[in-house]
Amino acid sequence: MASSTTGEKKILTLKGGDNEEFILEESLVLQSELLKNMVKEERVSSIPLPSIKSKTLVKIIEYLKKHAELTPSNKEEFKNFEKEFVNVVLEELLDITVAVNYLKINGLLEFCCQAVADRIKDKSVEAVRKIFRIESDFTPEEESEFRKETPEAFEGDLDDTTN
Amino acid sequence: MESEAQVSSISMEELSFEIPIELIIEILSRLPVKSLLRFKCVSKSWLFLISSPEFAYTHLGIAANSKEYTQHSVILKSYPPDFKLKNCSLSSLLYGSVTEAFDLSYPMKKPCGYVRIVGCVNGLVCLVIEQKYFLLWNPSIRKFKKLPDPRGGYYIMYGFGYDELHDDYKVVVISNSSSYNVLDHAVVVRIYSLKSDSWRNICECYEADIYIESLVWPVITKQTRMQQQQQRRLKKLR
Repeated sequence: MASSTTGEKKILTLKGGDNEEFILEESLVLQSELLKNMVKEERVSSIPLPSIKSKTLVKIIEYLKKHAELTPSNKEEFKNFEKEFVNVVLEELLDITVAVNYLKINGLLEFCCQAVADRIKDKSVEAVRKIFRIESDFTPEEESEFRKETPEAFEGDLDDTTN
Repeated sequence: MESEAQVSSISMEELSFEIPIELIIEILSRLPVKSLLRFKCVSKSWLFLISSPEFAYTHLGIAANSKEYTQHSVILKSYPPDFKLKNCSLSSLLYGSVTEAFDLSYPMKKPCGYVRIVGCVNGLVCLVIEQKYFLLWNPSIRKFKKLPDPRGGYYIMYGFGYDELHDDYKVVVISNSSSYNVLDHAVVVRIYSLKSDSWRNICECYEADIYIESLVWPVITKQTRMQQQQQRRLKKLR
């Protein structure tokens, strides 16, 4: 029993997709609705998260720690941290967003979704298909209809990159 | 180096992750309308999603609550000789170092034609063109709907609003059916409902000057109460 607690603080182990283990205070993971329910209802001390890459989990834990330290006096610092947090390649940002959605960390989810939206808003249709791994099921004729219908939506410098 | 190669091979495998539909909705509902119009042709499922009324509600809710007003615009009208509408982003107006306004092409525009903005709610704009044609116009998607003719005489006042109770958009027109003199003649109040796409009379009365000021806005959401009040006032007049 003593090994799983330090003083009043309970310790919890999260296991990432590649079996890497992360030991952290239970109070931190309570920011996740999913983990909170698991901890409260099932009283587990180790939670496997096989669908989340360790790299992603590291980022999310980093956020949980920073968020827990948030006070009115370091608000600006936290905002800067948030900006840096989403300043990763788009694929990684999507990984994080999917994981945050799964873990149900609400404030962070909204922030990540906005960050993804900001990153894709000027992308071309082809780039968006690649990013979200979607095959087009429109014929070229149907597609040109869209372009005719709202030409202004296809004007300007559209970004073809996927990062 | 070896472990790095392993990690990347794992991540390649996991690239086949599926993004749940509710997450796609969360992301898309934070995009500007212009991007959404373009992304309609990503796939049939995205087209279906973006075109659905439920998505429009979600999108509107998020855009309206955006703290930086990134999706808000102000529409300006220039006066004679040419009636131009200009569009100015609210965030640039509030926070930008230079505020720019762009010409906004509106439906049924004619050179020197008179246009009046009746009102604006939830991104929908109600216009009256040349004192005759009523339009509901969504400038973001450049679509408009011409309303049926309210068959009024001389229009005195207009109002446009959203009826939350019935989830309906309504236009109120007060017109004088016979003369240019408001004070002495019969006044007709008509209300248009977008849901039923029709006008109906809500009152015909005389001596309208007494309550006309307070009529237009409350009538949209509190019709019944207003009618009762009007009846009481009319009784008093008699």
